[in-house]
Amino acid sequence: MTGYIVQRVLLMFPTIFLVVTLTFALMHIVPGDAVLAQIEEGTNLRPEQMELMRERLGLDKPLYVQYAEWLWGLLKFDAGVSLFTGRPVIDQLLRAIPISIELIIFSQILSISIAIPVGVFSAIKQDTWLDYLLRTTSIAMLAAPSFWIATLVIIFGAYWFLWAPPIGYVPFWEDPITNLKQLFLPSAIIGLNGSATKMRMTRSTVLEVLRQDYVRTARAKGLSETMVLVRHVMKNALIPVITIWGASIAGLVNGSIIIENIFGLPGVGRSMITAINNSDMTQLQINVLFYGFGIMVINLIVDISYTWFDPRVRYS
Amino acid sequence: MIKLLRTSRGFLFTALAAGLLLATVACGGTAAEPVIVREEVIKEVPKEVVIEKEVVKEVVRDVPVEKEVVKEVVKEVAVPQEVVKEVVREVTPTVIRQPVYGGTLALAQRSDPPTFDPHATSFSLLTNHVHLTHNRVIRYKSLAWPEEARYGDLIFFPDLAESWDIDETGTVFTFHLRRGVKWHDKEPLNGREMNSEDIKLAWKRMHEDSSRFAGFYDGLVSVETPDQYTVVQTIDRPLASWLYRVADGEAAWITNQEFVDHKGADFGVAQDSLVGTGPFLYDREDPGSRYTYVRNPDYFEQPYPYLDEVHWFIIPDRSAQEAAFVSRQIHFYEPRRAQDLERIQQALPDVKVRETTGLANTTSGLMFNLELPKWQDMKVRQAVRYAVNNDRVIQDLYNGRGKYNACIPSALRGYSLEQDELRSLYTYDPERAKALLAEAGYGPGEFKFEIMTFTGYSQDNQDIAVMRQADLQAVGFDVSINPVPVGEGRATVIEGNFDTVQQPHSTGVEPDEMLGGYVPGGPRNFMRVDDPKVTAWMKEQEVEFDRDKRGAILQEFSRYCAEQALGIIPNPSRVVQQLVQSWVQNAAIADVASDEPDEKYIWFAR
Repeated sequence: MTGYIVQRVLLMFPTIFLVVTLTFALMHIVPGDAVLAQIEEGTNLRPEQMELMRERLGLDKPLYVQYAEWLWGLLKFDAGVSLFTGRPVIDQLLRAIPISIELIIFSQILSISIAIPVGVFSAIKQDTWLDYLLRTTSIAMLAAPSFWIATLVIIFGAYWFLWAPPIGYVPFWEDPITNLKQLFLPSAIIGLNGSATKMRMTRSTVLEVLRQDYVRTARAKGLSETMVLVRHVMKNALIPVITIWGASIAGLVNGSIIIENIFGLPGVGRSMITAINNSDMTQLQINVLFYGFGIMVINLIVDISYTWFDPRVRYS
Repeated sequence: MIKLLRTSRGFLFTALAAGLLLATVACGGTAAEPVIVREEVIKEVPKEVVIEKEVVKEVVRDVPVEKEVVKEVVKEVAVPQEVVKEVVREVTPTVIRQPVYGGTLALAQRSDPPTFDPHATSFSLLTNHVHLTHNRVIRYKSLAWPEEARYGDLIFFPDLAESWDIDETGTVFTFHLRRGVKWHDKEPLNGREMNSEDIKLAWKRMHEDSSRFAGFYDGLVSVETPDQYTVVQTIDRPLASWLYRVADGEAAWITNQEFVDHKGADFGVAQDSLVGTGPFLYDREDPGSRYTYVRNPDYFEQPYPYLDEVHWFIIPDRSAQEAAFVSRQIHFYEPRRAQDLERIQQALPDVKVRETTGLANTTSGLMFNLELPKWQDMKVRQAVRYAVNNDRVIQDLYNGRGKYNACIPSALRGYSLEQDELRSLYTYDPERAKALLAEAGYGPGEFKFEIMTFTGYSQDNQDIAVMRQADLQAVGFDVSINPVPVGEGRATVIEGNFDTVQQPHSTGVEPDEMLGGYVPGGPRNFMRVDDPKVTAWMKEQEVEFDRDKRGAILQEFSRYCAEQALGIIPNPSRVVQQLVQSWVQNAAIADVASDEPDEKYIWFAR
């Protein structure tokens, strides 16, 4: 097991390297750079001033030199400064990480706490009107894009109740109530959207497990239905759900990028959108690095968790 | 809830939205409590004046005069035809109200400032903040009480200088500074008095290569300081636009070199770089979220400011900004469409509407890349000009409230052409467009081109591009639209790798800034215009100090620009409307010269 974990951790490095290299290359394929992105239509900049700015930011050097310098800096734990704001990119990232993590945790708590009970319930009540209603609802949640739901909820919330989430993000440790007011809606939207897939997967795997011989045996032994469900059905049925959950993390990151922007949460996702708009390579690279690393760690945890849910699974 | 269920919206959405919203509302609301003054009694004395072609507007101003406030309503009524009736109602003052101190003004912008060095960017994302903390040597007269300029007047007004002289050569400008102006009480200045040397060093900084505005101050030869309160600027040639540059709302902010040196490489990186002489002091920054400013108790213009604090919130999404306004969390909001305005007014009946009869000082439009041979044929460009329907833009996009523009925009009063003439110059004539295209040798569908638009920037320009595409296809052009992110788009335009682009061209309050976009080598000559006549007009007008004569030259340029379809087919401009919460008093509409209201004059009726 330890060997497997070490192997997976070591594999992360070439993967991350590929991801950041690809991002770097893609950002340089599109025209423009951080200097041009700072120019408005009203500019009075002289060409020589633009060259001076490029020189100061290191953008006058060949691409491979820029990339090598960035990598070298990273190895020295210096990710550089934003090409747009001049602030250290690591500061911006560290400010944004707790917000994104909080959003993802809340949304996943909500997502799982809805998806699994509802999926199990739907399976138990298979082919009843309740089952149909829950399945239809889950399809609707899947089909509705989260950014659309978010916009509608914000606008109609304001017009119907003259209420909107408090503006100006407040950290949890400064004012927990305001923080929860700010995070509830975005978490709910991401969570509900993500719960649909999990709910449907839970339903189908529970249905499959319910028909297994060992479930019949458990019932024959006289165990209560609750005990059968909890001890024999759930544990076996959850493995595919966990796989789906792990795979959905990347999608969750995408969703949170848009939701953070709509709700004005200064998380990593919004920072990425800003960096892309401003051709801010150093900020974008460190954010991609964070997301890439995060996704791989979560997938590793998911893989390891299989051994707990199914003792037959062994890694060597 | 009953009301909610009675609506005709789909049950599914209702159930989902209601569930989410009720859960949130259960957490408790945060909406600010509005204070609505209900006891106003207005006595009206109508007086009718008929004028030609004026836009519909209603301006409501609260004008405090010592201990009483005059409520004045000016209403202009639209008539569908060419002549519009303007009704001016004079109102007897009956409301006793006095400016009061206190309150926190909440404003929203879409993104963080890219820098906090006033001379490192012209983005309004920063100037929104700089005008709270800094001053210029001279500025423009404000639209707010007690100055009460008219929109677009652009009258020079004292700021750090109390008066100024220009010598007979038009090259020497002497500024007499106010006494007792104090820098903010921050290290290392600690509230010391401003002097002429500070101004000299600030102008030196603006003129250096590191300044974004170095090109703007080309021509500055020397700055002398004969005494502590006098500064003398000398320029290399007479320039009619020089005072505009000294008063410019993007460039001319007076920073303190001692403070800049004290901050060293950190200057401009964070909000604490905003140390000046302005009415507010920086207080706290929460990047990505909020920037807080507090009242400067030592501000040289007492009794201002009235507000305790100003908060700039970062809200990237327009829907979220609208929701923040409707939930009373921000005090200003500029709806983009008439239906947005109506919707908000229905939700908040007490909200105040401010609007301008003038227009934005930005020229936007469809720009040709004149380096491409296909655009060098004037008949093709003229065909484009005749094909586009500006009335439809005004009607459908601006809800009937807009004006035609030329290469010098309508907002620059005295320099722009009258609307009648502009209508005839940019008349919609699809048959003429077809004929011109045929004369140029192109049959239907044979002339193909692309309109590049910028995403994430101006929605109006994206919408207009779609309307232009339909107009042009109707006369036989084959047009596609290429939306690109704004940063990439700007770069592409500057590098000249475009066919046509629908985007802002120039912004500013001075014709020089507009003409910079038509002169070979000019910083904003995106269209690659190279026309000797235009270059000659540029030189002629820049030394013409007589405003009428200068206006005549510029009007001639606008005519020529329209007739030749020279580089740009300008968009019409919309009438700017701004919503203000009912308890916010003395909030002037943003002038062409400034992006925001003068916060120092604002107070809350509480």
